[in-house]
Amino acid sequence: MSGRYLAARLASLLATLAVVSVVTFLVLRVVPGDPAQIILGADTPGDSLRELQHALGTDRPLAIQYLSWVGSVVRGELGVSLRHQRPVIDLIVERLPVTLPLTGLALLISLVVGLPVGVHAARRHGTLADYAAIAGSQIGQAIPSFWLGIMLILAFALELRWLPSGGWVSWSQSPGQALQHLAMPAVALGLVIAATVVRMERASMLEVLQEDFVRTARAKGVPEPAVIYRHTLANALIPTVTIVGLQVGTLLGGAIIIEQIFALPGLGRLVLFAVFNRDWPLIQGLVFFIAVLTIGLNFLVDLSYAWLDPRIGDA
Amino acid sequence: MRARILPSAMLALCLGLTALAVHAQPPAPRAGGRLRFATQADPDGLDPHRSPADSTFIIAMNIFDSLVATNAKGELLPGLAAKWSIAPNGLTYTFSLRPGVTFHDGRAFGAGDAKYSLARMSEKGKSPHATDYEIIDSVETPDRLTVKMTLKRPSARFLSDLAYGWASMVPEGAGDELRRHPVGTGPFRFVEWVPDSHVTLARNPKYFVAGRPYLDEIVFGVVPDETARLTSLKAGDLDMADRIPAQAVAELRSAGVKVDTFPRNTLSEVAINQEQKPFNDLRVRRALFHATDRSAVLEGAVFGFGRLIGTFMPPIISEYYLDLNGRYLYDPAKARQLLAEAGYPNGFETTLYLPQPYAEFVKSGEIVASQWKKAGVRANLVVLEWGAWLDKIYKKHDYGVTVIGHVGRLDPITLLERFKSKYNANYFGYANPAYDTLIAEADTTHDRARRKEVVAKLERLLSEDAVCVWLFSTDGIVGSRPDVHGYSELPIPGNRLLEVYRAAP
Repeated sequence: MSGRYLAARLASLLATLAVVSVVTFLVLRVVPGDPAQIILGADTPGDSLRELQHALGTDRPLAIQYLSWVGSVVRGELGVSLRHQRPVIDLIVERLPVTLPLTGLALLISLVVGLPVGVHAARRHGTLADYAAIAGSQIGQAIPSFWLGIMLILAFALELRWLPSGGWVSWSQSPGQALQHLAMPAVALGLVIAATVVRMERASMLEVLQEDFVRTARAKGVPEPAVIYRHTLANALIPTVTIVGLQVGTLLGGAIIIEQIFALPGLGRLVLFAVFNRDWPLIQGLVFFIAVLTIGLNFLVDLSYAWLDPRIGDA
Repeated sequence: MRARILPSAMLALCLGLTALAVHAQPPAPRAGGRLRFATQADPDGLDPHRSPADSTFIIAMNIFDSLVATNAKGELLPGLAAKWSIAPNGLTYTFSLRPGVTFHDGRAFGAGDAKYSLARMSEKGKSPHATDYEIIDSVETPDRLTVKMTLKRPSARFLSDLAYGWASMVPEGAGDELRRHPVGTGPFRFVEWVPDSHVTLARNPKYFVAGRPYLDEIVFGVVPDETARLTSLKAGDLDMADRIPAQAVAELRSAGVKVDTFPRNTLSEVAINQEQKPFNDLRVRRALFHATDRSAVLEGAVFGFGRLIGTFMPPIISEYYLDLNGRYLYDPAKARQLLAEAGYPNGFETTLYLPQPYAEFVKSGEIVASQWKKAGVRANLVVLEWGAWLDKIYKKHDYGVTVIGHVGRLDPITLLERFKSKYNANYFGYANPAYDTLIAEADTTHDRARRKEVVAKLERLLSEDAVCVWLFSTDGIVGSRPDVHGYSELPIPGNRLLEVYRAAP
């Protein structure tokens, strides 16, 4: 892996972040809605508006507001929330113990379910099992995760009473209960992504299975499991890894809705709160953070190609 | 045969009546127990002087007390002030504080705390309700248990302004940390707040009302999704939730959830912008009124859980409420005739804005729009997200008609002054000099009989001028486990769970 490749990737990463921050800032100011007015609502005497805007600093020129936000990013605060009056990074860090395990578990579920099903479908290409996998994954992709979430609540919380219908118990209080609270939301989120993984893995397995080296391996008498798992799967993983990398955005987006339904105090809830309250610095800090996370993970995915296939890094 | 049936029928009847009687009579209050109360949103901080949000007062009203208290009827009662007197000139108020009251951190509550709190809730740019207390000229503390306030001008509503959650008494010197670590004198003390998850409060054993509160602990769980909130209530993961949507009542009851309704201090209306054509014409506004079958809207939007209003005054403010519902009856033919007189024989087209996520207003709007068609008014529905609604309609007055609701206040003038010509919350563009004069008079009239007359005139003007199509005041619908008793709603923002208890299992 060459240093130039790494440097080029890093430079594009920073440029992307700069563009993201400017675009977010400008878009937020164009969207109708005044954070001060939302704080006051429609039932507070009107005279307070200008004073509140001044106290929040939202009456300052746009350039000053942007620069003060950049300064705050440099200080590592990612801005100061208008509503919480606290550094955005603190608010984010508070919610990571919910959202990271949630998305991590969902990702795990999607792989544990998606990969074997995809591989199996490809091996049994054209059989009933293959069609069942295709049908299943199509249904999985069509079902919104929030609907699946509600169905899970009805089944496992309301009827069977195996799991809590929502809410949160912190890891420090009871890791077992925390896991219980994450189980249904992670499944709801993970299964939808599993559907994508099945389709992707099946397609790329089918493609690789047609390659000459697979035929050669089979001709040489390599046992079938070794053909599948050592030769084919390793090569078929690259497109799947790409898809999984791109799913990080989907996962975090899905977390917004799933956390709302299961009353989980995670990043998704913070995003919704920030948007509905036009908490500009909070939205901006969150978008920046999620952009760093997504771009960073895809950066790792890029690096993993180079590792999976050394020809990419040298190109 | 018949002789035998009769006694058994009598017996069954008696048993049935006994069962009914048992049901109607709540069991004796009992101390102890825990209550998990569902809220819709994480509190906007727990500092009562720094938030205008309901989400704050639902919790903070249990942690703090104000000088003046109120009950379900909106009467003003002693709170942290045991009694008060008003000087004949209406300018000087002398409050005698309740002795022996302590804050949750053990410090004694006294006049210094009251003076500090009054200054803190009047801070401009920080306190959303600062303007309500601008009228205070000076506060003196002649001794540890006496607070003397002098006003800049007489105000008949001033005492009621001290009864809200945002007039809470906080410890002298309390700063910004109240937002996350509130310390009050109230029935419950703060234990913890896990953002977007829950707020826990524990019983204040030294509360100044003997034997209260009953509950040992309250956990306010934040459950933003309505379906999830109802499901948790049915599953027993939560014990109580307010703001139950009307369409869920039957389903909850069949699932064994106790559902109670309370008249609320709210007002819903089709707001009309009289600065815009054609709504500047009184005949057009009256036509809209006649074109609206308000009973059908009440039934369709909230399943009839509420009462129709004929002006901007909810029935819960019983002392001042006037029933003007008979003024404009549903009559599409009359509406068409009024429109023709105003120069719109073929009706007109307009946009009806509806605020999301307020399902009640959105549904009302859909029904209203379909009713208006019969009178020739073609209303295109545009749903605006709340922040956008506030910006376009409330702030910029850029609209013709919208469906919206307002939260009432204890004093009628606080409600009615919204329609003063020079008031920035008057997004209706209503300007009537006669109305302004009457508001000024009612604001300074302490004589209750005289004040009632003036307020009645104001209510009639809002009806005669068809400032809005007044719709209804909705009921608060509260669901709970069957063993939860003692709850009632106050006509001010926030809930007090002082009297709530759990019956013996």
